Amino acid sequence: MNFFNTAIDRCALMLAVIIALTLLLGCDSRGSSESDGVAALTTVTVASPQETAIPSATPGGLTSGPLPTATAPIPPPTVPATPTATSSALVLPEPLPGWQWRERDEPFLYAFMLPHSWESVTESSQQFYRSTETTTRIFVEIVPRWRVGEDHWESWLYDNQQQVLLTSDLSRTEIHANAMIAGHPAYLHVDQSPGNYLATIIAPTGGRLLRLRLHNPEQEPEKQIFRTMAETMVLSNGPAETGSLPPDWEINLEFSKWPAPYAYAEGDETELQEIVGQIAVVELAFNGTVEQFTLVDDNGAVYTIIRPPFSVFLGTSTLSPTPLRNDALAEGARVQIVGRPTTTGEIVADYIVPLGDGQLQRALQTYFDLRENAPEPALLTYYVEGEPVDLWLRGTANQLLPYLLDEQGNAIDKELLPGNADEALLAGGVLQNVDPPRIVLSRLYALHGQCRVDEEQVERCQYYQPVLPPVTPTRTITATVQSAVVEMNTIILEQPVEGFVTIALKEGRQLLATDNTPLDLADLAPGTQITATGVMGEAGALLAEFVRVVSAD
Amino acid sequence: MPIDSNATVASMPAMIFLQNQQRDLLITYFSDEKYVYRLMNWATGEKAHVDAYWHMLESYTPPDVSGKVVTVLPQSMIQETNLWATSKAVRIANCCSYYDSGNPFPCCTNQGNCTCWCYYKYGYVPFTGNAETWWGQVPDYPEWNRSTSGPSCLASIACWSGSPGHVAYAAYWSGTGNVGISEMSWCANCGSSRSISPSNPSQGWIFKGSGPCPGGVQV
Repeated sequence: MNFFNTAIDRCALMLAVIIALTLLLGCDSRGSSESDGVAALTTVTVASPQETAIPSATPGGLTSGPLPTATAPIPPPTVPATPTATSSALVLPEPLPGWQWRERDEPFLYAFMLPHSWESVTESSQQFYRSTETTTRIFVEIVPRWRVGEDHWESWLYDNQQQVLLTSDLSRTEIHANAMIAGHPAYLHVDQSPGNYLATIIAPTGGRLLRLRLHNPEQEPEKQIFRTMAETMVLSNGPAETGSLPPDWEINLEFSKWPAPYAYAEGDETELQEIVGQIAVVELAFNGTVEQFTLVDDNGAVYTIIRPPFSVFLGTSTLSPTPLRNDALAEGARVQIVGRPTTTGEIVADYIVPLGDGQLQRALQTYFDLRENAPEPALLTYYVEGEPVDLWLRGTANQLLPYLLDEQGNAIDKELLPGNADEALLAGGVLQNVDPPRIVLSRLYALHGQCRVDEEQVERCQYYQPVLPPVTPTRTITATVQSAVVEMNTIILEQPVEGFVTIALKEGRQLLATDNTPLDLADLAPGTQITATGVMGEAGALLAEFVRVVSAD
Repeated sequence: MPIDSNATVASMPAMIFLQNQQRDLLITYFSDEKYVYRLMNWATGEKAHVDAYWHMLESYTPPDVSGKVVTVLPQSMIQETNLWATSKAVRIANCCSYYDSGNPFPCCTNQGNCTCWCYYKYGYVPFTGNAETWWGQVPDYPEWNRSTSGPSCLASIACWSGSPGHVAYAAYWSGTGNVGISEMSWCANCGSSRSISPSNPSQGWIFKGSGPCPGGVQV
């Protein structure tokens, strides 16, 4: 039977459990087979020629070491008494349970620890490390292109930030030693722009540049893993000292607000306007997004509609306005917009709804800076149709208080809001009432660093830290045991789960078999599936209070 | 090359196979002589998803058939697929319904990201960080080159400066005139095409490799 060659172009019906046709269509214009996605994505897990992976010691060979804790600022792991003998000149302490040393020689010897379940990958001559669970990547390199002295490295870094730090908006005063790597002063920079999260550590050493990068972590413990890796690095050309990164760096969140290229009109013209009409002409920004469009209402009046600039929080999430796909704003589409006029006559649309496609898709302005513009009941009235809307409010405690309700609908006690009267807070919650505007507070962040405006006029606030909900909520994971290290009260996981690579058992914890009888850690066999409940500890560990066997392998 | 059927679905001859080097795409074709039907299942590492796929095949009855239909699936394929589905979870990155395992660039709540799209279209890029920084990273990778005069005859990526900048995949270029690009935009665009002049990208074009190209290549 051979029907495929003749009839495939008549394919009229495609059923897909998960539709993958788009991928096939998307592959048709690739250049060479070398760059073919499938081939390129079939990565080879190998150690580079320069790298030697030094496996963890057997549990019986361990002496003492750090036990993850949940609350205290993370100290560098202590150096255990028994060093690992290697063929190199480096004297390495015993790795943490479930971790292993990776040693490289380019151009001088250095070594760093990573969880054993993270793999080394080489793609297109580029080596990096990644979890087998996510697409998170860690890059470690002595950058061969640059030579830099250790005396004036901050100013050198400022001049070369585009190439080295992959950013261009740092001022000279912002680049200063805020970390230590193996006894060398270093600079940690975190960039949380739209679609990207990149933590970079730069440490000049031996006339070279050591660069560590954490690219787009998907799980919170992966940031802890990066910290531990950086703080335990060992260099052959430096003092035998541990490193340190800024406290609480992992939970700091950057807020960015892009500038508004317009000014609102004053006087009576500032009234909100509702316009329903047909899109006539769409103008795209250089990056393909709909920057503005012309709208013709039912009376033939023509308006130029522009979209407000966006704000970004939490790294890879757009805070506001909520996204609206370009195809909803195609020429000929009928839309309803609500907005205010600018001094030059355009309408800034804080609310856009395509009409007539039977599917409610809305673009909303959900961020309001109470120091500049309070949410207007007249605008929020449009928000209450459809799904509940999350709003973000920024301001001081005194400015925010009138807008915030607890889950019972009561006013928030001022004591709950941290900081002094001038400190900017970010509060998030579901819109509960329109007039006066009220939200049910569910997330609260306090400004921890400074705000500045960069060369592109983007306001960047580094950093906010979460106040609500708690930083370390209780988590429950299901994982497979690779081994148990009784001396360390630690369970090593076969694969990372939600970023966790080990489970550290707290004092007084419960370890139960499937029939709920107590189980000794030593009896936990490799391959056993367990559930564990606890909070995030150090070094990718779940600090567990309760562990139960689900099934034996 | 003729392809023989290895299964029967709803009394129709069918072909079932695993595709990709990672063998993470399970495909079934069958035909009623008028149409060709294609059912595809991307691996998620969940056996339940594969079970659902087999159930769909076993229970499928064409709309104009009232009698009993016969479905016979190859046991060897079922066993291989079940083993593959339960042996290791396969990473799937989903952006606008495009699946790209190992793609490290996030997608804005499934509403697009230019870097994610270029990684997907190119198959792999060594760059990290925002689009604006890709241009500056090129000298780090000896196999990659830059051009300010236009795209290479090789697969190329257009780069714009700004904050956070923009990148787009050069989908078509004849060597002269405008370049057809394919792109996503952060939180706004799940994939679109347009035509731009070779000088439009404010930074230029980047590509892997080098070779004889119309107009030359400035490195």
